[in-house]
Amino acid sequence: MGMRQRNLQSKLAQADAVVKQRLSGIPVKRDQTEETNLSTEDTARHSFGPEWEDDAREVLSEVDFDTELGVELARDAQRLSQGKISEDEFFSRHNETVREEFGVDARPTDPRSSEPLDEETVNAALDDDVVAEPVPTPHENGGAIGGDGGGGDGDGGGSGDDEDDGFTRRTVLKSVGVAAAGIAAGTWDRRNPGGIWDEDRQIEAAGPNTGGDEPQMGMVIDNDSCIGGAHCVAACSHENQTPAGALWQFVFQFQEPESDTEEFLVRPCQHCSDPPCVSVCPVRARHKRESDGIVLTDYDICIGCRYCQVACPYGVNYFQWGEPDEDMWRDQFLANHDSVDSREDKRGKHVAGPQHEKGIMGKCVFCVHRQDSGDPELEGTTACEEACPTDSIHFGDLNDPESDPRQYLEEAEEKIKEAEAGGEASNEERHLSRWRFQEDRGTKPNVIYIGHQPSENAEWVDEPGSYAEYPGDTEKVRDGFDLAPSQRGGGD
Amino acid sequence: MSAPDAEREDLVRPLKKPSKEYFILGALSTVAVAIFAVGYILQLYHGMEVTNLSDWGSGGGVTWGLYIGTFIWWVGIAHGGIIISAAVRLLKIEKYEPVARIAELLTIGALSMAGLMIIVHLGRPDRVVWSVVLAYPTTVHTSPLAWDLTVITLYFVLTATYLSLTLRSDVYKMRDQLPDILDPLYSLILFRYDPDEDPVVERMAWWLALAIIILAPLLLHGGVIPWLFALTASTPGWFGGLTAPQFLSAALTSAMGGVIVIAYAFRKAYENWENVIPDEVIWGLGWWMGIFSLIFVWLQLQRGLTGSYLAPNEVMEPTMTMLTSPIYWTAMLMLIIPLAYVAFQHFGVISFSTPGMVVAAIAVILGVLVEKTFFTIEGLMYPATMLYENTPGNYIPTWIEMSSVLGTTGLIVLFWLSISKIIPIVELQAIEHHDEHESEGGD
Ligand code: SF4
Ligand code: SF4
Repeated sequence: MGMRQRNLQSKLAQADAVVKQRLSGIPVKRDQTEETNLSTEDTARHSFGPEWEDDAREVLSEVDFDTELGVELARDAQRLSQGKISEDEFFSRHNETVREEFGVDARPTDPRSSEPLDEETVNAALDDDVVAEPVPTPHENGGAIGGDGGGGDGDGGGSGDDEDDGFTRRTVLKSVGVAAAGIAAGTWDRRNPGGIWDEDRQIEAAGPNTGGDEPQMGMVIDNDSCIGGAHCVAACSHENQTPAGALWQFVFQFQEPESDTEEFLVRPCQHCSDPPCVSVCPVRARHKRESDGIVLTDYDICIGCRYCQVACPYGVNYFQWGEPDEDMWRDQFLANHDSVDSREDKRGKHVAGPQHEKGIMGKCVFCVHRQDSGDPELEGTTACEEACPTDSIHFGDLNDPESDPRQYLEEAEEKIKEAEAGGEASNEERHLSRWRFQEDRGTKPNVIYIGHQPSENAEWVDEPGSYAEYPGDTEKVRDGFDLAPSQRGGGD
Repeated sequence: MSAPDAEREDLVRPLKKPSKEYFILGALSTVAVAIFAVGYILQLYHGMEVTNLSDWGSGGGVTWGLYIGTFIWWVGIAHGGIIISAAVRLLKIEKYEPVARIAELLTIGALSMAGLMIIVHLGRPDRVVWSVVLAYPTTVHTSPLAWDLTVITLYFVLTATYLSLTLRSDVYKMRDQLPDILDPLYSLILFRYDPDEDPVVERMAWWLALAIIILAPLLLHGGVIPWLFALTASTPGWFGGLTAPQFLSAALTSAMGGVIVIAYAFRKAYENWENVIPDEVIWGLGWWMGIFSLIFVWLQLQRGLTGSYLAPNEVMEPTMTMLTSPIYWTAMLMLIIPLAYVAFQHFGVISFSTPGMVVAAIAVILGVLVEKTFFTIEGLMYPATMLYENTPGNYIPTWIEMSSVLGTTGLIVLFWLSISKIIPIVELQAIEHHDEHESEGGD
């Protein structure tokens, strides 16, 4: 309630500010954004840096049960769900170790059943007094069984209600059982899919449009290494010549209620494999390009009903509210690259660049003009990726194991394994993991994140000089983002 | 009823020479329409930025607002109207026969306004026909907006068929009393008319009524229109199974109100019309208006309770905003007070007054408009992605947006002023049945 009230109040206050900004028509100050760039750099927070590993080990060592067992169990559960091992194998493999550790092996024999363990069996077999470090419950730790390995993402208020009681072996055992069943059945809580580091998942998640082998462009974004400099936002705005306020690329800065750590979330369009925006469009203007799974808007067909914007759970759509300065923007857009001479894609559809006409919808297009340019320098790149000084954005074909994003994921997996083996993790509150944004919406998003997954209580932090300065408004004035070449180069 | 009978004379009285008040009302409505027209031209010229709509998300605004609220409002009145008329015809409720055609005409008018609101809401209205037609075979599988267009068209056709079928025998019987100047039109209406067709038409109308009654809760205001919202899980304020029943009950409430207001206007304007549409009809319509608003208020209670007690955060947010918003409560009071008024009348605590009922009806109609607009805005203000919660932004419609309510209302008044000069808005059958009643009961 308190939070809500505060939010309302701040909404009102900010509305006031926006009105003032509208009235004055003054474009946004840019220098302040720069201040928050590298000056506040916090490289120690990089996902898999040495500090992180140390922290990870520390957390794991404090958990009072066999870390290896949990990790192994989780891996086998995955293998089971992938059909690599049989149910019998799965069950028999760890039976002995589990018995040794917990005194009973009460994992469900039917992996499709996510029934919690039988209370009595558990109580009879366990002492309830074994208290370990708070560890996220299975719904929060997304399957990284055995403490807060890399997988425990969950919400920041992670340990939540159980905090006072600490964490008993019983709870751990339940977690293990439920987690194993959940993963094995492939129906793991979609809200927190993190912590599952298998390659196949991307193929599976790429959805029906790509048929698995078809390319599906996507991104792996390391929010943990993001420093919130908004270089990507500026670069996107410049590259695509989007109108003020149309922030196709955007960076959230948020905080969990109980945490001091400011987190970032880089948010392009997720180019979903099951995109609601496409489903609802009454004219098929919004569509998913078959050749590479990029979700695009046909600017010649869109009638501006804005239903796609309503249906997309990510808030990535931006309408062209006013009359754009078409000539200026088009010319600048085309002048950005020698090899880009049209706003039509290779199919001859009018989908690239900003919408350039009033009354139609636009959003991140994964720099489709670059992908179709035939220019090896540009193909397979996006402006935001190029501009990121910390190399947090990795763009490419998620269905290709050799692609940059897949390679990065693999590296991340290796590092997290190492960290687990070392028994320490970077930050027990932050629950770094791999996840997708609002996956529970069923959209099958094609952006994979590394870092802390925002809980539903996470709040946008407004830091003076950064996000509050985004021109979240519909004025036609161009914001300052695209005008500073120094900001686009990728680092200061 | 001890008042003198309504005669054919009375039915055609509105078609006679217009009065001074007629012109005054016409002029006022024209002004309202003109304001709207100016606003709309400005919008076409400058784009949607003349509204206070904005992108939700980092834009902090709402992308659907008063236009959509007004759309739901009109479409609700239209749907309610046709349900009233279909019920009268299907169940042969003679008492309400005098308002059956009024309800049909209200439907035609209000449905046109709803269609107009959709056009006004679009960023590129110039493309609508072409884009929609080309994509229709694919989009109709997935897009609730495509379903919506389908259903509205279907429904318009049903209503128009209905009206034109039932109109023929009346025009035939009263032809000599109708204005000569419109003879070509009447000839068109009576194209190949044969008095023997009457019983056939009656059966056809009955089947059409049945179709409408079946379609209403499934596809019309209990279906496709609310589904535009209810199926959108990214806006928890809209999502859910209660949305459709809420829409339907609000639609029926406002349609009852609409019929009351129109019936009253004609009673006021024309001599002896209190016998054409007697008090008992107004009273009965008021009673049904009360029933439907009771259902609506009850559904609101359910929504408020489930959304605020142990609800997930994303549902809690919009519900709490709703429950703490003065706008919401204004809307609810505009429904609850008339509801109480109707109830008190019914239980004899206060005596029946036609003007009182009209005031209640107007309050209810406007209450539904406010509630529907609030519903639209609130859903978008509280999306499931709570990270946007603190984005600066609010929404107050601009004068251009507000003029759409004024302008469409003006158009509806003009519609009534015109249509009542062309056809009798009450069926002959209705007063004939009255006569029967009178003679049965004696004086
Ligand atoms: S993120 Fe939104 S706009 Fe992008 S594909 Fe998914 S649903 Fe569509
Ligand atoms: S705004 Fe355009 S792209 Fe979006 S749903 Fe409407 S017609 Fe389709």
